[in-house]
Amino acid sequence: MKFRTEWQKIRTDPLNGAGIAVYTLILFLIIFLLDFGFRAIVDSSEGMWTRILVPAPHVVAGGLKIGQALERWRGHLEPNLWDGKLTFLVFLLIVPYVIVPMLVVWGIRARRQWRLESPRHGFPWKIALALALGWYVAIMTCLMALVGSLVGLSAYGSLQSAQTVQTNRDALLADMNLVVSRARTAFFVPREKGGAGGSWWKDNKSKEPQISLDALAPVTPVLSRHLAAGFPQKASRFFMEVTAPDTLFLWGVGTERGDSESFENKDGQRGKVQIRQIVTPKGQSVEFQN
Amino acid sequence: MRWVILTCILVTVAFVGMYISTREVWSATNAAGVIIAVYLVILVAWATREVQPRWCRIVWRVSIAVVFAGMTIHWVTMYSMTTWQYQTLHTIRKTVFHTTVFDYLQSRGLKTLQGYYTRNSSSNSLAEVFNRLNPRLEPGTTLLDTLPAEDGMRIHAVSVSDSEIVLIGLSTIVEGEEPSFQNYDGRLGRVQNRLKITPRGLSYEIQN
Repeated sequence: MKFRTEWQKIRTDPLNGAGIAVYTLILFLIIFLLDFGFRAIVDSSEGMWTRILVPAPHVVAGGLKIGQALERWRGHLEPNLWDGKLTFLVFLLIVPYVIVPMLVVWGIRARRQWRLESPRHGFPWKIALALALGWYVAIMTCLMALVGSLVGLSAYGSLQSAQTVQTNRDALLADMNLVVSRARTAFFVPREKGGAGGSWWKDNKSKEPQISLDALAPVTPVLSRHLAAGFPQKASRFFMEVTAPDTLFLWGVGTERGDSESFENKDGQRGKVQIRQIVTPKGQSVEFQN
Repeated sequence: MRWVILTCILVTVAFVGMYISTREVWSATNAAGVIIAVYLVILVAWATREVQPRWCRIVWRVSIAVVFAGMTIHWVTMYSMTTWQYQTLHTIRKTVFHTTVFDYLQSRGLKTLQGYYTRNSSSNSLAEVFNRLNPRLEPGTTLLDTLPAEDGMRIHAVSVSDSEIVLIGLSTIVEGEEPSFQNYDGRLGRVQNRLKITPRGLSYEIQN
């Protein structure tokens, strides 16, 4: 009954509030269908996953930036002079945020004028389209502004946090590899030349280590010395046990929190990143413990 | 209508001009975004100037300002996040390269030292052991290896003598920290690591 009443109102006044809502919904469905076609064409021609459903030029620009990062990874150091993706980005900047707002302003005025006219002739499709487009862009923009901004901030925080831990693991592993390399080198070098002379023990009786961590461990983290800006690292802690003349256990404790908060580190701390390596003269095995 | 056309032209010129000159997609998008922001502020002020009563006009303007602020936050977040990801991806790339090339160089150095001190063959000098264990890819060159190919990695034996062997591991494509660094193969600014093998041990250095 209520639906019939509303339908009667729309027929009498096609530009009333309910009418505009209906046109906006129809436009949304049309754009949704166009989006499928657009993606099919653009995906195949430009190799670009994108949507026209959400008028978000900054999201597309971010996607292009990541695309450039991947191209750089593959050795394509200079970005293209121009391509279809950039044309699409210009379209996304101009249509929803320059043309549509002006259409809305025109539509609001034209609607007021049209409703005052008597008698009314035909269906005012230009005004309906302008207002539906305006509502469509306004709704999508509000969603992005109010929900997207919060989700974006949260995602950025999570990414940074995860990367900080992974960077710490990378730094720790690089430092440990240097320690292992020095230990393995020492194994082959004779004692009279400063090496361990074929055994990491001083002698089989005392079983004391022939080599010390002070001599093996890097003074400052290896990678952060060279990748300082993208790789800020504090010095890690190392622990070593020589269990046989040719077997050495090395632990590295990082500065960031690892996967398990209850993990007990070698130095008595809890939850920090930790890696263990078992080293022999022939090679090493790595275990990411936390 | 004139204003719309003028803004469209300005946005296009700003975007295209900035992109062509910098090849930087965010600089171009931000330049266009600033022009659009100015246009929208003027448009909103103009379109709401006759809204009555006054509180209604204020509510409209404040609501639009809130959406505008939210969009700006989203925009800046996307900019910061993707720029950070761009840099981070490159740092990861360099980290992977340094770790891999370290492994390659260290492995050659350790095998050489092991062979040198085992002395179970007729060739006893450090250079002889190294040359026996590390044949060149092409005779007469310094090139030892080109793996992994996707990194453009090259390992060169720069100098080989009985007292000292110097190996260089570099990439032909991965950019290092210092753009003006002169690589061993003549390129500029690529990552490069060096390993020195002496009878006393190995010393390793990240050069770029």
